[in-house]
Amino acid sequence: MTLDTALHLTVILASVGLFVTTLEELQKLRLEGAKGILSWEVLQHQYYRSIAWTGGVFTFSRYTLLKLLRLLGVLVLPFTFGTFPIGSALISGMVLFSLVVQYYRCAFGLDGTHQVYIILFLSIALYGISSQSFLISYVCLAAIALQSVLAYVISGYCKLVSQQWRDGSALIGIMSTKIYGNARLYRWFKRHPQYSRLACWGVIVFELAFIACCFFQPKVTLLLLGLGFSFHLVNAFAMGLNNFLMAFIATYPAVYYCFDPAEAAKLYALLFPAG
Amino acid sequence: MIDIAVGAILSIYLFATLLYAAFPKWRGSIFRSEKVVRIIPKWNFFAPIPGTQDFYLLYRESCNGNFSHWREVDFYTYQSDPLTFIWNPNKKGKKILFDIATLLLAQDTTAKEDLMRVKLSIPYLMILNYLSNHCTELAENVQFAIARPTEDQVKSELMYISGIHNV
Repeated sequence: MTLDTALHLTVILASVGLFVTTLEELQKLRLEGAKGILSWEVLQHQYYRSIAWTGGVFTFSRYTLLKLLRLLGVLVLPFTFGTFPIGSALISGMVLFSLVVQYYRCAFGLDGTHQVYIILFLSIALYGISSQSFLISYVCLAAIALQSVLAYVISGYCKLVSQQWRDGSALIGIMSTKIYGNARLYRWFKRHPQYSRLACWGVIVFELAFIACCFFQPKVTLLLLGLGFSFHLVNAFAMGLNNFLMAFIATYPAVYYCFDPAEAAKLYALLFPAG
Repeated sequence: MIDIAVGAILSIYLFATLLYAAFPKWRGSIFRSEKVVRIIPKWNFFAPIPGTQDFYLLYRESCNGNFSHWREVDFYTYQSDPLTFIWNPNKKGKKILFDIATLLLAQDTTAKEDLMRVKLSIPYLMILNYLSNHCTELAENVQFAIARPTEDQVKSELMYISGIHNV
């Protein structure tokens, strides 16, 4: 995989994922209106100082416009990327701005995928304004790759130190809920708690093992990325976590490319030229 | 120059993520501003404490001193949909309620001044604003409660009951 291919794939996957996520948010826009649970009339009081200068973008009408612009932006970005660098930088910068605004307007209802998209579009936007040399392009992709690896490893560690995850009761509990659960899986895990424990340990081991992507290219990396895709696909079906599938696979081209020994060798040669 | 700035921004962001995850006890002293902390990625999905309970938002109205039965807020649906692995807009409402309820219930309400502080907190006001805008026309007052299912999943137990507020 070349650098350009990795960048393009990242942009396409990130854009598709954020397109679906934004469309879902627009479908539930009434939650963010004046009479909704996320009304700005209430949320503005989370800020003590006057924020008149930002109030313009947090109000419902302008915030909705920003989301619509984001939707348009991610639709257009895969076609402009690589051909119109300045345009792509502006579009990805606007998308990033809308994501950050959303975070500061109200973090309720957001999840880890929002953070993933911020990292993706921050890297894409910064790539757009850079010289786009091999070095800085590699750095932008590496930022995505390293954050992706961190996400899995930190998550795995947090599960490893959790008694509920180690004894298997975590999955039974999560599956019992209506927010992320699955009634069929809950009943099955309740009848067979040993499989819940096995599944919990499977998740812990996979997430911690993801760090191996950094060192054992390409077969181990491909295996881990394949496992990752399967893991998120199962979560999408079982728990309705469709946006995790789309957000995390958008980081996979960067993970595959950046830890390729041949490409890393090129970077090394650039940083430490022979003679 | 721009390339150096780009590299610095991405490095600082990565370093902040590592620091935030590695030193939880130092979060308050290193990351003083909550506004800064908000933008740093937190990669602890469903851990170390997994979300293993639902919350229900209940409310009742009163008119001429008579209270209605407790009703559940239905701004999100429990219906399962085979397409949720691709399209799942309903998860947003569920997550909002989960986040608000978790934050509300985490507040200390032992002292009287704490009770007043809770009533002025953002989660409390969000719920109150929402219910005030969705009460029936005849309602004079509204009260809400946060409930969770019991272990047998058949009944619910009230975790928090608000004050009674004019609509």
